[in-house]
Amino acid sequence: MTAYITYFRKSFKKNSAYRTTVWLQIVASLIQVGIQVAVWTALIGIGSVDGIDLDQMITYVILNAAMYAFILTSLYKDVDERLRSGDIAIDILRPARYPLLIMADSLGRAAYRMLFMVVPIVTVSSFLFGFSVPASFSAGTGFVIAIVLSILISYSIGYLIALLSFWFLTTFHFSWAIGALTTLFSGSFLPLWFFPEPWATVAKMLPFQFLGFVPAAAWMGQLTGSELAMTFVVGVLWSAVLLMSTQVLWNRATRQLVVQGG
Amino acid sequence: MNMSLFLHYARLRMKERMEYRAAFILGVFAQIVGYGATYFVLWLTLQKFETIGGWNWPEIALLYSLNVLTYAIGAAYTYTPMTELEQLVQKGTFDPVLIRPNNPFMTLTAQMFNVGYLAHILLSGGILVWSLSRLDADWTFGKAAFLMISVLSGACMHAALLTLIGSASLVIVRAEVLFRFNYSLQEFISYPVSIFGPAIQILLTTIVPLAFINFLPLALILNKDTGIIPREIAWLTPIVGPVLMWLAYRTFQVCTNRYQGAGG
Repeated sequence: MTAYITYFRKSFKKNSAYRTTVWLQIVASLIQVGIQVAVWTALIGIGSVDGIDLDQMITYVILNAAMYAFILTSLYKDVDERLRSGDIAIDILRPARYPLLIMADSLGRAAYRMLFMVVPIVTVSSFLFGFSVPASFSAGTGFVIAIVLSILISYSIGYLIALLSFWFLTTFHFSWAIGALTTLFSGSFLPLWFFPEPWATVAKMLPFQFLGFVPAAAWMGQLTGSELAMTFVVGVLWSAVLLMSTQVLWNRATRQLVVQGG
Repeated sequence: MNMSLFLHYARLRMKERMEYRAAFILGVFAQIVGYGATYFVLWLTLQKFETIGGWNWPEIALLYSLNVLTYAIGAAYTYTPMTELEQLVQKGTFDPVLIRPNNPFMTLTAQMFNVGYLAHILLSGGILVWSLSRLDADWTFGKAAFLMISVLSGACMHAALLTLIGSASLVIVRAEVLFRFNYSLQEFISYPVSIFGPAIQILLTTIVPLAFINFLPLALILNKDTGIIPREIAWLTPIVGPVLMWLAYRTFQVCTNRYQGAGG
């Protein structure tokens, strides 16, 4: 256990080395929030559409910007790089479970982003555009559960992409494909409640809704009661399926691995 | 450097890529799916809301396609050399480019011409043609010619931006974040610029003149509201691109002359 905690702390520290990147990322996120607020102002304006008004959409946009910290999908880039350089051999030799080491590493980065990117982004945007606190105590609890599911699902998706590169030696195509599915079904731009049928039904059955829509909708109290419970069941099922797939693929990948160069 | 040498380089580059034909085709496919998703989200949004700032689905599709298409044309020449420049400098492989009896900018853009942008061009070009067919702008020869010149000018603007960032990497070395920043800025012109506040509208026509890439020429052709920007300014579109490209090219030259090498 201490090994993983050390990994977590090291990752946190490693991320704090790139100060300029952090500043630019914050500015880029704020621009993103500003653009989306302008788009929703143009789309909704005064009044409301399907019971959603502009202030609620602004909260939705800011929450989705905050998701930047909790979506771990990009971890495949690190694995890909270590696979190319051959460093992966050292990782596997370590007396620790590699999947958990990556998890610790990603969580370290998530914690760093949470403190030094999300907090400033949310503070500045709520000052500029306004932001609502969770709709109720249970909405807050729902948000926390949703975030845990987001972390598990995005971790296993990222890790699956990484594992596929053990066979294909590239992540380019898979990352584009997953990126496309995320853009479409996460609801991070267009919330699922505005989706026309049958796309809404499709999106509600997929895991990608946890990478944007579900945490924000739970926070805002737009997903409650049995609907929220059903969504969580979908999320838990997906987490289980994805995590098991990573386990199966990982067992095969280690036998398959050929380290090139050196 | 003359045209035939440039084409020769580009042809070699194409051959090199075609060595991995399956990977190339898969790559084209993946990128089409990737951009397709963005189009799909825009389509879903307009299914629900009908217009964004007075632009309907075919018009938004045209606006977005014009940006992707011009980016693809500009980036095919400049993206790879400008993002790799940092690496070239660090490894010391930029020096051989400088001692060739050719213009370094031309050598780089020819050597690293990226055929991979085919995917962008196929998708955005296809949707652009489709959206034009769905619009009832009474087409005249003048309008069609203006649109075509706008494509070329927009490609110059995108190439100029990438060249400016690449030049920065000769001076400040770590410029990777600037490329990502450029992507964030592109987001502004995925939507009609008139939906933003006055300050942003002015910014996008002056300091960062992205509005000339798609919004202003299309607002002129489709007779759309241009917010606080006078519509007549769109007539400048054909010269903004070439002027910016010239400035970027000069900047690149100045930075190359100042280049000292970063170890060997």
